[in-house]
Amino acid sequence: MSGTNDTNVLSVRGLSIRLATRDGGASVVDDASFDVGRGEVFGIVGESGCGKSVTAYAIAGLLPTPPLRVEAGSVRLGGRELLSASPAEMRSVRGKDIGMIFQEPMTALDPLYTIGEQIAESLEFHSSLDKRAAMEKAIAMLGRVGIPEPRRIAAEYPHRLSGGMLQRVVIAMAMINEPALLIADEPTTALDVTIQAQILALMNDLVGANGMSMVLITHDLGVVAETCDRVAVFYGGHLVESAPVDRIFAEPLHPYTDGLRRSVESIGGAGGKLYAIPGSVPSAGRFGPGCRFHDRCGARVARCGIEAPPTTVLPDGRTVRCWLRGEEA
Amino acid sequence: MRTGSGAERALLEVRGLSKHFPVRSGVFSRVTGSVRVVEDVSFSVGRGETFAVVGESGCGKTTAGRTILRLYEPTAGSVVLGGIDLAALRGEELRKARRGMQMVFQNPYGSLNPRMRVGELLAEPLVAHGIAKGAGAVERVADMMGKVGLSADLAGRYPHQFSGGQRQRVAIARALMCSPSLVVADEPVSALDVSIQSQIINLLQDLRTELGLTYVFISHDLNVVRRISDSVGVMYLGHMVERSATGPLFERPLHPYTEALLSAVPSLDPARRKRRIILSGDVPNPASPPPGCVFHPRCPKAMDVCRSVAPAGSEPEPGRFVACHLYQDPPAPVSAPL
Repeated sequence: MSGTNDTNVLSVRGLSIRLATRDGGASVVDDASFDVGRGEVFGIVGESGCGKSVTAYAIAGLLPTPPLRVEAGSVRLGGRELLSASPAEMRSVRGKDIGMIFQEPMTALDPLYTIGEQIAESLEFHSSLDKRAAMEKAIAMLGRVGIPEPRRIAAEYPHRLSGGMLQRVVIAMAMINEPALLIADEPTTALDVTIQAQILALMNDLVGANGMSMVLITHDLGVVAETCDRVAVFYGGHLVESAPVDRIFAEPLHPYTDGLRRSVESIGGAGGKLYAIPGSVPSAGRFGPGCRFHDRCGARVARCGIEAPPTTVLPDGRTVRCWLRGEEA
Repeated sequence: MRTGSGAERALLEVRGLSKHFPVRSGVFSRVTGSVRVVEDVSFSVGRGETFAVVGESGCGKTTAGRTILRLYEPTAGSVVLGGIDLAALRGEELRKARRGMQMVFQNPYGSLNPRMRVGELLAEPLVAHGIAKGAGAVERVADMMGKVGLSADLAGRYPHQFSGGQRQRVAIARALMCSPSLVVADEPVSALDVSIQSQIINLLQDLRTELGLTYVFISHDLNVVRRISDSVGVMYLGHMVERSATGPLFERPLHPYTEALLSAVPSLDPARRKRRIILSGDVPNPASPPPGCVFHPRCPKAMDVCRSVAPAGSEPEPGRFVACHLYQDPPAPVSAPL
């Protein structure tokens, strides 16, 4: 990873997050570092419980504390440290500098206010626009995210719209203040594939047109391949590998990434037995001291179960957290 | 394809199956209309084969699966399983027939009673159908747990003590306890992580071979469907718009909806980003479907006739059924009412 420089909008360093439990707590994210460049779409991919959503919540200052707590690390947005910011400061960052899109659009919308009121509210909160001007801008934004008859829809309540339309509304709301960074947590997982294709195309267009950066969190490798420039793979709270998207599936370095790729490719292939990673995903708190993937890994050596591997930065900027690769570098 | 080819060896014959739900409104909840959730669906599945029903949410695929099993009463049509017309069965006869057909659901946690131990959950169908009890049942449970890749030592545990993948193995084992011939699996891997999905798909494939099972596999995941099914029916807004052997369907989809659906699947190859048919608009409300072909408002190839006349099915190639005016033979008369 090429250290912090001014082309990076977001810089996360050594982020560790713990979950408080009755028996002393569990490590949910351990020492994760990555950068997101200006105009870049950065994917965070992994299975349930891998720490991908928690990482995003920590960036936006939305971690439910307790039980979750940032233990160490730094999150810098445009050079400004967010982890030490006060709740009031974070409120002015969210919605203005960071826009957020969640899996379920209704978690972001209030059923008792019209679509237009909710989008305009975010504008009024973060700017000096009056109600009327804010509403006009909200209607224009609805048009830009492909809502037909935006003026009529602005006066509707959320329950009148389909899931795909609601997700467009949430995107409009997240982008209305033209934030430098958009965080999208499984934005298309609840949608059908034909609607997913619409929404992904829309997000790509908007990010490209506005020079915005995006962190896209997903479990779907296909979505990553379609949308992202670079990607980080999480497993059991470890960021196991990061690389440009055209490299990571063509030439994965970590055995877990390789296993994921082989699972997905063999589902798409023909005949015979499917490739499957043996075992199941461990839950947080059940990790030993070693590499968190070691008990499912076909390439493990004795050391893997005893000591967690450090993150190795390769000359081309890719990172990998694996003893096998660490030795080579 | 109105007359199923190989009708003699088909285990399951679904003919003209429809399921309409009444719409009630007003103070007295009078029936004021109906939602045609499944409309005139026909297909047959050979013994030991897998037929996949694919489509997006609300297309009627789950209702079709449940109506086949008589979990819902069909509004019209027939379902013949192993030569017996299920729609005509009542009472005890229906109960007996149910032994031969089972369902696996998407969410194993929802279909397993959390207060029962796994051993009890698996023995229950045996006792309910009077197949075995006591030591005999325990032995069969242990045997089935082995078949689905669970250690028999786990029989004393409760569902919450298992991972998602293991719970789906339990649900599959329970469905198979009465040795059914037909299993309707409704999105059986959709709730599972990618690395676990492959394990469960392999298990379903192995069991099909080992026990000679026939599957109706309901899914929205086209990659999974391509992998495991012998033939596929594509549903849109209650209608089966295309039906074909799996290979030809994926290589050369005929219906414009199938084509768009296939092209919408994200690919691992970043170079494929460009070639995409993006459908505009949403799936219409099934309570007020559009006139003519139900797909015409979103269809990139819609013609005048599509707006007013519902396409009758045709068989442009042997074994391929498609309901689309593009394939009407002879070409549909363009004498739409003026």
